[in-house]
Amino acid sequence: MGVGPTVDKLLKDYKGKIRLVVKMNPYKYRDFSHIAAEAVLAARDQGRFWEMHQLLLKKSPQLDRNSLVRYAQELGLDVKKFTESLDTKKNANTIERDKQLAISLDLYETPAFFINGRKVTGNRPYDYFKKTIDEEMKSVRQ
Amino acid sequence: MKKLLIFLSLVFVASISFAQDKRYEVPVGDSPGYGQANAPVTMIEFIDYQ
Repeated sequence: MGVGPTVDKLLKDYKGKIRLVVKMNPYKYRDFSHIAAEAVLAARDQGRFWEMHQLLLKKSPQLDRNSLVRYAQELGLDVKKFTESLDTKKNANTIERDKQLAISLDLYETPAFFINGRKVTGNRPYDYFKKTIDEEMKSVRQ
Repeated sequence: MKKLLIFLSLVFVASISFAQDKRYEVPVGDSPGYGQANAPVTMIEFIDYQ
């Protein structure tokens, strides 16, 4: 997750100017990609998406079920509800919908970004994002 | 012939810059995120936490 700090810095530097929207695109053949997506959506259901999102980026790749439940505890979530959500794959439909969207956009790598619809894939440096965002801000102002 | 070559290379360059400017329609839907909905720039990230 090399791009995490870059996104953090962008959100800080462009406070109020950028809205980040997160879609799930867990890779089928990684052990914990799917359960981690379930975890972040379970936290979303309790109004705590952003905290869990940041925690998972920090803790990755330690994303096995026990670790995820511990993170939920750390964040003070309703652990029973959270665990049920994981175990019943409550948000499987949402994850599948996001994956289908990714396929329809020809995305086969993560992370991938769409900045006002402009595609940016891979771990690009901060300045690359900055350039694209600055161009967008300029075109919005015009 | 030379004119044709110049014309074709112009078309080529134009198509490259057009491809870079391509904008995709990506629905936000009810996906989670951070920041104001009315922000001038919307950045949609497709993520794999592992």
